[in-house]
Amino acid sequence: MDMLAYKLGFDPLEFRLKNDPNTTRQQQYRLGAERFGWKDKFHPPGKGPGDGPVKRGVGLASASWGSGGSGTKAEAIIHADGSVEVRCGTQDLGTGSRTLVAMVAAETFGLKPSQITARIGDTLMPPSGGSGGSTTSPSVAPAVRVACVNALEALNARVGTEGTWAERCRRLGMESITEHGQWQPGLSGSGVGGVQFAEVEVDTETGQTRVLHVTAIHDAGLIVNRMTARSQTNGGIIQGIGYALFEERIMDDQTGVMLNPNFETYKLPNLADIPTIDVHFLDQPERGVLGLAEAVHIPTAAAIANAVHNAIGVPVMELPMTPARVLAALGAIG
Amino acid sequence: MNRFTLTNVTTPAAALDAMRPDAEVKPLDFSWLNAKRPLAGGSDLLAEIKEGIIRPGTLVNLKTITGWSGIRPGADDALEIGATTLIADVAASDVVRAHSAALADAAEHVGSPQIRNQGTVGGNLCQRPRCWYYRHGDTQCLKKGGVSCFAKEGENKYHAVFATNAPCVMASSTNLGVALLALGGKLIVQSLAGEKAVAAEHFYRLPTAEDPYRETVLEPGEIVSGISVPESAGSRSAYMQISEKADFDWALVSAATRVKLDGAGAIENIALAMNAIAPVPWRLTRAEEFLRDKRPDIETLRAAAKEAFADARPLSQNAYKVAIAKALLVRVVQRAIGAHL
Repeated sequence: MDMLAYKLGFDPLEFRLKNDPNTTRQQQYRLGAERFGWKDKFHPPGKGPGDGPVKRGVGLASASWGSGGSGTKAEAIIHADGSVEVRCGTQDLGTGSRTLVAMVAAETFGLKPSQITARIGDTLMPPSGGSGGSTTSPSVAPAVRVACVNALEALNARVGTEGTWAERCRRLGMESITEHGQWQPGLSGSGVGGVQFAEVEVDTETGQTRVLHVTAIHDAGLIVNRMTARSQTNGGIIQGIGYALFEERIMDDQTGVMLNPNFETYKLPNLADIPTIDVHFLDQPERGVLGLAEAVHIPTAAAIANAVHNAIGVPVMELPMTPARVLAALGAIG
Repeated sequence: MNRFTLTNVTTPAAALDAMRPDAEVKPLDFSWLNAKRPLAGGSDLLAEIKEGIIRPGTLVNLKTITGWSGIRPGADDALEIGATTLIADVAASDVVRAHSAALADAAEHVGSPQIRNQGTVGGNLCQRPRCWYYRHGDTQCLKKGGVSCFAKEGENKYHAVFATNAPCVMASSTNLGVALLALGGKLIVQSLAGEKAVAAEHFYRLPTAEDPYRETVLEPGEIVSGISVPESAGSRSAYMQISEKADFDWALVSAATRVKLDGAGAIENIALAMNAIAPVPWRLTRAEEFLRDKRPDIETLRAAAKEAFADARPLSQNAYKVAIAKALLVRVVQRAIGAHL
């Protein structure tokens, strides 16, 4: 898209603003450009300031992804000692689904998340899907919400609404309240996306690329936990840097083995490779809970590739953009 | 991991005794090479064993030897560093930096902080090939007793660009070895016959058809106990490397130099060495000769780089290394003499 924009004499941001019909992304382009400082940083491809071998460049790219929820079941149990257990057969890949279960339950009961025991990761629990397709949050949150609403209604029916939480629960005696819930439409949405801007530095003599800064603007519906959402976005961007610059599976034709089956030669970004990252969410609570995962990963490598193109004046047409490929694109290999 | 006997020794004599080959060594039989191995940091050796590349029966722990660790002044203002000295200690040493900055810089670029705090000078100098065919437990490359070097026609982006007609085209990766080569240093080698000093220039050997197995001239039972770096009054040294990642990555190309300028600012003497471009740390003698008595301005350095790589013979996927190496030659000399890009 940037090659087309440049050929037509457009700034790639302007080109997208003129051609992208999506109103959410229009908002994201403008907001991102402002936060990133696009106007000051952009220059025509290969025409950056400075005469040394290190060239700076900027690029942007956008993402559109499905997300959406379905199917999950959950169970909420209120005990006489006031403790609450929420059980759901989802799992936490490190993205915070356990936190999400506790937060949705706590908010429904008017408790603190620390008062909820979120039990997940076991097939004995009410069924939920695998974590994939950015569907975990929009599948799990509604089911937990419904289970907790049902449990609260059952509690009120049995012991009334008078007194503190502890007093009311104590009246339950030996028989805890166990209620189920199932995902239902209305609490979650689908269709997510975002726009990311990247600034890079390319050493045109050695082909090394460093990402200096990434600005990410994403729509994420009702954000359940701002910290885990931000963390997931950081993670997606860091993976995107790996995709753009380092990660490559080397299969050998002669021996049939993968020659780099370890993190020594299958390279991932280290701390020194990670730029400053500015994450901003469009708050759209009316859309319900949405997933973030893939959407935050999709535009990163493209934004970096566009930034490399902008820096050196020629596109690198293959990922990862290793020194070998950057030098080849520059025609610097004799 | 296979079973092995760990022998802790406290004296050099005990180490040499423990490293003595079990059977008489026959010509062209290199089974002794991996039957007994010295162990220090283990960051290279244990990985080889875990991957199933080698199955030594005996590991001789050199770290328990007193006197083989430490940085100390030697005769004629030389710098002496024991083989079991941690790479991290070399990187952090003001003494090393003041004497031979290239060595401190080279140590600083080894692996990660964890590796530098575990790995030793001797281990880095004697490390085995990083070639991914060698390191893969399921390939039988030439170095592991197979019939051919897969990298020659295969995946060779990290391999040699010089001496590519050798039977194995691995790229040497010892940071300290290339620095030592540029600095004119020696390795102190112990054997039952006594101690000898081997110049870095002669310590590393190219693979041959008869013996593609060894990267160094170490004979059965010999152990490196330390290094000696000569004082070179009035000269300055530097080490630099170019990697894919910003940190914690192997060099695509690394370079070390020791330069002495005369009163007029021309090069009186220069040693230039690079690594990861040949099966051994590689001396760039053509560039050295080209630069002698010339002022090291950028055009001259670029011309020297062109001269240095005129006879490079890259493989199918690594011609890019030549481009990087040319840039690095200019930069490492500039770093040594304190000029800016």
